[in-house]
Amino acid sequence: MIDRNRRARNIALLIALLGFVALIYGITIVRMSGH
Amino acid sequence: MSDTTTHPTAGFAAAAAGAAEGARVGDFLQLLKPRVMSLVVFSGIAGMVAAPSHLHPLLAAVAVLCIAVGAGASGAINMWYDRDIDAIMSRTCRRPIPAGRIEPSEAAGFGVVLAIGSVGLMGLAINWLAGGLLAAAILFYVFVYTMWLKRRTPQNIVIGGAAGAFPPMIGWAAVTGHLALAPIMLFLLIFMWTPPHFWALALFRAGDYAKAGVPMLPVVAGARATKIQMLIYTLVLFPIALAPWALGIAGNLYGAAAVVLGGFFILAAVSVFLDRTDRSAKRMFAFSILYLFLLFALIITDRAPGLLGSLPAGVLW
Repeated sequence: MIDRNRRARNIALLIALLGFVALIYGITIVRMSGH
Repeated sequence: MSDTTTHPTAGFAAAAAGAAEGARVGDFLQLLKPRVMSLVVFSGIAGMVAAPSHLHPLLAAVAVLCIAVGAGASGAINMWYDRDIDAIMSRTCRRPIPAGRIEPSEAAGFGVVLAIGSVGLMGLAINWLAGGLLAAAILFYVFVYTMWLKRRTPQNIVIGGAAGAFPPMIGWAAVTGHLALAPIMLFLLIFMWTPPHFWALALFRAGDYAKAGVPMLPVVAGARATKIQMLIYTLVLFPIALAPWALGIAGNLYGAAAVVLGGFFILAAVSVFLDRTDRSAKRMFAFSILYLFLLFALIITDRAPGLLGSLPAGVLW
């Protein structure tokens, strides 16, 4: 059970980090387009 | 129900032994106080929508995300600091820290990282007025409300309530880059709404607060004094709730709803005053959430056509 929880936490963290990187890319593109 | 949820001290022992290894993702989400967060986000969106300008949809989403994460971070830090009294109160003893599912230091770190991240992202991606207001709201909630006032004065939620009133100003500032009378009135609306909302809860949870040594007004001054104060606040709130209509950031439908809902809120306070049981207080607590939710929903729906460019600019300074 502990391993399963740890794996779920790691996956959630990975998704959050990837989402954050995608967000920064998106913000950069929008800001560079003059908004 | 496990022992750790019924006996908080056992929960602390489990936490010390490294119970966080078994923490679920849901436990971390619970640290963010999602129900509080939803109302905060909703009022933040209302501030954004009411503003006489607009943001690129992605930037608007980022601003909403920052408000949500900032509110969640405040909740996590609050749960870290209040873990001792949370363990005593029946309403809060099953929270992740007192129940031993998350270690206190982990919750504190989680909250601080999210707080810094949300403020930094708001400042860099949107503007630093919005970032500064978000930082002020977080710092006010953590240091002024949680650490200073909550355990010291029955006026804790009156002054501390200011933290929860920031989101419409943050939303407005994110869109316009400045403040105006309208978002300040939205701030005041939430500020005056908070005491009757919270004291309704405190009336039927007074035993819990007394047990934990938190000097909520019903514990310190008694039920009757609290009910009088609640009635006064609902009366003062009535004209303030009409301000968005008077300032032109909300239409006639909002104005009519503010009159009707405000009238019901006053009636609820009268009912609480006359009722010797907890029943009216429970009803008023539930209604207070609906009251604020509906008012902000009407601000959003009134202004929605404006987002499509078909509405003239709002009334501003």
